[in-house]
Amino acid sequence: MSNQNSSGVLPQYNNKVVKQFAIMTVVWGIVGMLVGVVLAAQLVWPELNFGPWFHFGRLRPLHTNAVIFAFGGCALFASSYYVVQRTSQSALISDRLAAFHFWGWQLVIVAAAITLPLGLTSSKEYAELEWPIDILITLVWVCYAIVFFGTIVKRRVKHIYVANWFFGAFIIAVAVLHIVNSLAVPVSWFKSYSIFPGTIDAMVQWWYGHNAVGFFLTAGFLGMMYYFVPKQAERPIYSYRLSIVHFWALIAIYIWAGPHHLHYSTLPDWAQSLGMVMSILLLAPSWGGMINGMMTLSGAWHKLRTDPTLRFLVVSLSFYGMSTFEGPMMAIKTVNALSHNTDWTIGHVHSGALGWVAMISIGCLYHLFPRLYGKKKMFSENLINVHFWMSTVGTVLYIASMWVNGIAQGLMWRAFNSDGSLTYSFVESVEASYPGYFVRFIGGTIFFIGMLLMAYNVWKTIEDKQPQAQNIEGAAHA
Amino acid sequence: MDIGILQGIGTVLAMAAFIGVCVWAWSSKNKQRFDDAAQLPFMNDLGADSSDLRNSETNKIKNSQEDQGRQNHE
Repeated sequence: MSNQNSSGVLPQYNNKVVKQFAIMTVVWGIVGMLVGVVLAAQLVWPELNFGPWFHFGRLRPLHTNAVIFAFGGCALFASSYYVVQRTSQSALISDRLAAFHFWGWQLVIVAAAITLPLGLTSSKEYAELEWPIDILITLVWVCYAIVFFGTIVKRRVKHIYVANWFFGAFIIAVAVLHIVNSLAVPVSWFKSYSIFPGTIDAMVQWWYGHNAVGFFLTAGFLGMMYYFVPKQAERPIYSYRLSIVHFWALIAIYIWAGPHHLHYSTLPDWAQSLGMVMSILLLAPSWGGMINGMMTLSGAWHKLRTDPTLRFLVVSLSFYGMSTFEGPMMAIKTVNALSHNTDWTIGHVHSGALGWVAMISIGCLYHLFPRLYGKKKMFSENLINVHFWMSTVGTVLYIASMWVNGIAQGLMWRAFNSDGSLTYSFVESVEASYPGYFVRFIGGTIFFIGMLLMAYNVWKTIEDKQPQAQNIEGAAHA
Repeated sequence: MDIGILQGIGTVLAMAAFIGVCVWAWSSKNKQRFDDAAQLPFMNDLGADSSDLRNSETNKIKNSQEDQGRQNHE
């Protein structure tokens, strides 16, 4: 095959950094989701808001930063380093930079966990961290880019595999987004003000915010999908050609979708309409990618019956399809008039975050751990199966309760009496949301307990003295 | 130039780019290349997955330049 490197020499891959990031994915997943469960409980039982540091308003950015950048970030770094080395047949160009990337990123996470509860925030959603931490993020990210792209440059195969295109787009786009949105004038060590004024600041923020979704939480995880779904299903991607169109269409369209966060605001109407149209267009590449992943299993659907890891990967694609249908719909201005500022948005985010991002990461980790530690398989397949059902049930409870809450809130807020006065006061809509908040708390807790099962399973796999796999690839193909 | 014309040109260019990517992806000239690329995840990476297998016979041949400093990880 033309892809095979001619020398036949196997490079010594850097597995250390992959292991480190993979383990921290589990750790930060548990921490971030625990904070999420606490927040859900605070909304059901407001008495749980203790003092300023343990208040909903300060814990909420801690939750979002922990699950997106700590859990999601570590999952992306682990998988991208694993994938880029194997599909390039080349080791990482610098172990030192990779180590700096790992420790630097952990430092960012710890700094976030300290500053956010203290109330030190730039107040930009998903970009709350203050300017000294922003600079550290930039440094770490540049190192990541150097290691990743350097390894691709050094590859021993001709083609750059599609997963690396997605990882590459994720790295470049996030660098640009982070730097532009974080431009600020510092007034002290812990306080800065954005250089952008008013509506422009809002537009820059949501250009950043939605592309954090598009490039961090979508493109990066699609890179994961394009390697681990074929690997776990033991068959190549359904259509490599579709993956090329998927890539270019997705990255070309995503970047314009941000204004849908600012419908009916002071943003000019043409920008709102542009954001809406581009968001609707996004359905096509999103579903193209989803179908490409799903169809990889055609002729091998029976594997779903016996392989819970594959089930994680495939169900994550179903949730991806669901949330990328819901998203364009919610971006339509008239639908947005109902959904905006309601719990529907929270449900939509978690259908993507729990159903897609977390579940594909979990599937990827269950694929990775035995291979990284030279084991034949995970300690317990049954526990993976239990974890799978807990994740699925937890996610469904979460999003269904938020749909009910969101639509109820939207309808109550827009209800008028014949004399033009509001039918419901705001607090009545809060009261109506109570059962949904409780169901959400239950769903989130179930998902969280699943993560604890995973930690146990991973621990036992690493520690286990089961016979070492003699031939990893051979075992997979047997 | 009128803003409408500019927007029209932008739309046409975006559409042309999209069609161009599709034609390129599905051209028969590139078929072999992409079929090969789809196999990239399945290239043999025997031993490289596990530090415990690092010193197996298969891996004895090493690319010295790449391996500098790599051992002291384990």
